[in-house]
Amino acid sequence: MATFSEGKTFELDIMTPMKSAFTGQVEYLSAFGVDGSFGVLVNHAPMLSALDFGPLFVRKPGGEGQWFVVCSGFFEIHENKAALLVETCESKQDIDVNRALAAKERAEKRLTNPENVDIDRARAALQRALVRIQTAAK
Amino acid sequence: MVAAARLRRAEERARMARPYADRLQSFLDRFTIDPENIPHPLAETRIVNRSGLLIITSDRGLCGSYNSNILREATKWLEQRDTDKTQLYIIGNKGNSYFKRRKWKIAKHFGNLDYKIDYKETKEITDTIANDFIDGKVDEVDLLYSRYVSPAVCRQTMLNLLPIKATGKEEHTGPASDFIYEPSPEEILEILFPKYLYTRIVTSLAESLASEQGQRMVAMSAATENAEEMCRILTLKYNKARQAAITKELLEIVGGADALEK
Repeated sequence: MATFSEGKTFELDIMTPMKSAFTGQVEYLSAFGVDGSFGVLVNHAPMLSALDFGPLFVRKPGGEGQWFVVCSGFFEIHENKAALLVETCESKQDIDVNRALAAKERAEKRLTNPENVDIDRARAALQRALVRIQTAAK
Repeated sequence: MVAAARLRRAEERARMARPYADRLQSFLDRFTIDPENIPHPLAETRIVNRSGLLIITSDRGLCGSYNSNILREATKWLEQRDTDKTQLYIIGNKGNSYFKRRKWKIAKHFGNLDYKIDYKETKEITDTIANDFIDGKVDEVDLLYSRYVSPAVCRQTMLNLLPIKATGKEEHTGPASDFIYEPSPEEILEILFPKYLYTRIVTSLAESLASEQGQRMVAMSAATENAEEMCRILTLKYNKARQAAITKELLEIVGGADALEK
């Protein structure tokens, strides 16, 4: 992807209440906003966006990419300084696939047998499990 | 050194939470200085009739002046207000047992947190306070906690929790309306305000827990030192007394023998 912004980077901090999950220069970021996914390159207009649970991708200088799964928070970019404030952030390597698979199975069982089940909660759990499984496979 | 390990964990927790909380604060400041201030039930400024105070104390004792410092600050705050127009929200058993014996009203007590910051528990604290504020049971809520500085030093800190206000210290680099908001500013605030309140309480709790562990460790090592010093002095005293007794007995024996010879 040869674009005008290639090689140019902006600063990114990913912070959670528990730790600082990522700090560094990145070329490109894509995240999952409440209104759908979006991508950010260098010199983006100032923006503040609410994030849902979803995958997050950053491309570091040199083209190396990194996947995360983040949960509920905000993304802000202002003068090439970007910050991501999220409840949790797991990098691809940290994802516990077995746990996600078990969660997926559990949620599916609940959804096929919807008696005394909080459907919304089961759907959300299934969604989370699927995002984790997909991201881990990338 | 269980205490040292505990302290290290608690300290790290508190330090790690700071950048997140500070950044969230700057997000918030950007919003509230926006001229087109958006009304939100948690940011509604009313004439203050009833006040609430959230106090963070420990569940257990033996942590030096940690609790007494907080309780002294709380009392100062309370003395400026009417008894029947204030209510307390207390985290920690120590604060609860202190205020139960006094005239102020305790709206809610959260105890036995067991040095963990549990999502369910902290959410309940946040919701209780937020709902009381929205229902008009209180018109302002302050928070009193111990900010962690070093194991030996913690600072009793009072801050406004509700209504949510900008601190105003954020340097504003451009008009806030230049920002692109996704989704609308209203929807972002709908998420941001409860999260901000929650984060404030959680980080204060993390700071307080670290302070408590630090104070406990210092208090306990001072206690150990005192006990050792006491041991040393008492051993010395004992030896002196023992020697004196032996000398006395010897003198008696010698004196007795002398008398027999004569």
